[in-house]
This record gives sequence, structure tokens and C-alpha cells, in this order.
Amino acid sequence: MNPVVRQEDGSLLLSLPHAEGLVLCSMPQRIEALLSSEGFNHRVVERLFPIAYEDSSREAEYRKLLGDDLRRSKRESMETFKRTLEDLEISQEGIQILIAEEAVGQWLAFLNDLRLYLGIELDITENDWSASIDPDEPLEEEFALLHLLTWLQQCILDAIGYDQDRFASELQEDDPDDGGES
Amino acid sequence: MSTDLMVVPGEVFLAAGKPGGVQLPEVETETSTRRDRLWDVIVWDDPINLMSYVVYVLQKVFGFSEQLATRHMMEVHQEGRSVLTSCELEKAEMFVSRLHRHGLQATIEKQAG
Repeated sequence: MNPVVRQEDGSLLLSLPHAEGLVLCSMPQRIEALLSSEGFNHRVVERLFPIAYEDSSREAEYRKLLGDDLRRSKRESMETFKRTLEDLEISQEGIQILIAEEAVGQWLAFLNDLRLYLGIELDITENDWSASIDPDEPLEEEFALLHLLTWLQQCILDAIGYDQDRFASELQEDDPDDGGES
Repeated sequence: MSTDLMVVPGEVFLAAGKPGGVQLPEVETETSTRRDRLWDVIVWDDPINLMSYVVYVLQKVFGFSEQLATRHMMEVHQEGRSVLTSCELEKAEMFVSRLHRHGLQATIEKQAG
């Protein structure tokens, strides 16, 4: 059953067990330092702020023009995510979070940034990464977090009509061995 | 592919290609490059982005139908890249900026030819 239910007004109601909900609340801290550009893995920065041009002079001009917009946009997504979590409701059954319709896009973008950050930290380079986890891997906890965020992002996409299974089945008509990431 | 010609104020040039005409030097200015040429917006494969998320973003940024967005997503997945549109430079930069905001890897390339 999808823990994300779309309401009549277009908002999404997310119901999570306590443990997953608390993990989610700790997520903004992970990316806050990155947006301040202090002491971070440069590969993560390169991935979250990718180049637009191969040519370095064009790229420099582009950065001057639009670099701050990108940084601002990522910060706004994180702030929207944090603000939504401030209003979460805790009950014995778990945690409920109401995501306003206008905040859904920023939630998806922020979850994706978190996943990209973890993907770089875990050195993921293959599409079938989810099938190749070694249980003795020292970064198993980070893999578990990546799985949680992937699952959550997919649940939100499912709730707004982007069912991963539908796209995966279309792909498998061409390549039966294929997985789910693009 | 069009290129602008250098026009020197106050000087009269005869039409190039006509008898007695002068071939004006073809000087490609930055303004003409930005304004006239078409630029490809390219999205690249990524092992983390979900297929459904890529379709969602392409529909949101470009207004593609689900069928077209899915076709581009599958091309990215299978070929490693897909040209999403060809347009003026300012528009291409706006599209790439929006794709970057959503976490997709996208670049701009001058259209060949």
C-alpha cells in the first residue's frame, strides 16, 4: 500500500513509521553544508551543480549568469522540505506529513538531490546498483538510506501518476535484463 | 548556418558575388552566435535518477506529452543521451538551468552544420 495518498485538493498525505519519519527530519542537515560550499566532496558539488558547457569560457559565463539561481533554487527546495516537516503530526501509529500541492515539485527535487549526494558518496556508477549491495559493505547504512529515499520518491511519483512499473515494463520490452534507474 | 557580416559604418560595399562586387569578410560576432544559431539541449544518462522522475521532469520543463517524454527517457537510458530540443541560446540556457534544478545532467551544444 502506498504511504502517500493524494487528497482532493491536490496535496499529498504521507504516513510513515516513527523511525523513517525521524530519518527524514534529519535530511536537511546533510545538504545544508553543501549549499554553503564548505568542506564537501567536490564530486558531489559537481553532480549537484553540473556543467552546462564543455567549453570553459562559455561555462564561466553561464555560471556568472545562472549559477546563483541554481544555488538559490536548491536552497528553496530544502527550505520548503524543512517547513513541511515543522507541521508533521505524531501519533502512536507513526508520523503524518501533509505536502501542499505547490510543494510537491520541490519535495521531489530535494529528495532527488539527497539521492544524488548519496549516490556519489557511495560511488554508484551502474544502473542496477540496487541489486549489487554487499551486506558486509561498510557503508551499508548509507545504502539503506538511499533505498529509503528512493522508495519515498517513487511513492510520491506513483501518487501523482508516474508509476515506475509502467515505465520499467515499457523498457523491458526492449531489454528484458534492465532495471529501474535512468 | 547563418553568420553575420562585419559592417563598417560610412563605407559602402558592393554586393558580394556580383561582378565587381567585394566579398565582405565573414566575421562571426558573439552577438550573431548567440542570436542566430541553434543549440541542442542534451540530457545525459545517470544511474541514480528514476525513470519515472525523468519523465516527470521532462513533462514539467518542456511540456512534452507523456509519450514523447517517455521516448526521450528511454533514449537516454539506452543510448546514454538524448537531444531534447534545438533552439536559440538563451532558451537553451533556460532549459538547461531548469533541468539542473531538478537534478538532471544536461548540457548545451552548438548544433552541427
